[in-house]
Amino acid sequence: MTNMDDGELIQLLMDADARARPPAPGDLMSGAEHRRTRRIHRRLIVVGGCGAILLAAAIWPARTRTTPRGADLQSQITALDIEDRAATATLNDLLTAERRLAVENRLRQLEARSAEFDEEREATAVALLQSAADSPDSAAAFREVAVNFPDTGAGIVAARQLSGQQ
Amino acid sequence: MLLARLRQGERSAFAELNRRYGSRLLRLAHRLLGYRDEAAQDAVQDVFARLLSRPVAIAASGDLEKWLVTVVVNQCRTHHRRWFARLRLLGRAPAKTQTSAPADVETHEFVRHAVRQLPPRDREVIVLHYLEEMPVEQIGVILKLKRNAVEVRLHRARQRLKEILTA
Repeated sequence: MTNMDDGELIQLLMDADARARPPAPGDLMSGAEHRRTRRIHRRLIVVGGCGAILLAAAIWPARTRTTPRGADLQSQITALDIEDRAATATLNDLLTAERRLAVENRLRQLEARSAEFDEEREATAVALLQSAADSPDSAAAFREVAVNFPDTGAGIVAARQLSGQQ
Repeated sequence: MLLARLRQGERSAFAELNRRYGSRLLRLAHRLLGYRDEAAQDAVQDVFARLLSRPVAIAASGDLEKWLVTVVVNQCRTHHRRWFARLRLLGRAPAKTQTSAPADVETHEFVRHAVRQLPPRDREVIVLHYLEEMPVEQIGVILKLKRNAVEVRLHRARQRLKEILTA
């Protein structure tokens, strides 16, 4: 098919069209009725679907706000929170009491140690004072006791002894 | 008379409409949709279904046949749009210019195949003018085009058809 003019083209077109068989129109109306029913059903489904979605959208937030299960859960959480705070406070109190007790014990121990230390100091000072009396350089020995143990009885005695010698 | 009965939604009037114009409209849709049987039936059934649903939409006066032809042409355009949209959705590009038909296909089928390859707007003017034998003015009324525009479109459609057939 080359170098075709308009006349040839139209003739070809009409011949080809004449050979084409269109479908029979027999069931056009029943098909149309069926389509119409289907279209109505489709619209009903769409409208129903939209309605259901809108209804669900309207109901859902209210349900989440007022459901008893949700409310129960919230009250349980609150109760647990209160219990938790109480338990924490009790624990803190216990820890504080224990800490206070430990500190008091330590202080008592230190005081006891201090008393022991004072006794030892006193005993040492007394021993040094006795030996100072027998020493050839008693003045130097008394001075040592008076200087090193000024807060003990032996230290005071040694200081008086020194001032008496002078 | 028939118009008035149709507008009142009388079922017998629709049966009469089908008897009088069914074949004519089906043949027109068959041509406009590239000789596809099912597509033509779908298009005409859709037209009738719409008229059944909204009989008041039927033209109040004038030539019923001309009005029906206009409605069928518009319905075929809608059908084309849906068909292309469906193809795009499926990711298949419609084959617009297939250069040659299979070798064993007879000449008439080859020509119909070429008509099918035309863009819908070109096919409309070819079908309405050469096969439905409508004057250019009437085509202008149906397609809402000026006379010059119809003639230009006819010229372009003939050229395209020749190109397809001689490729």
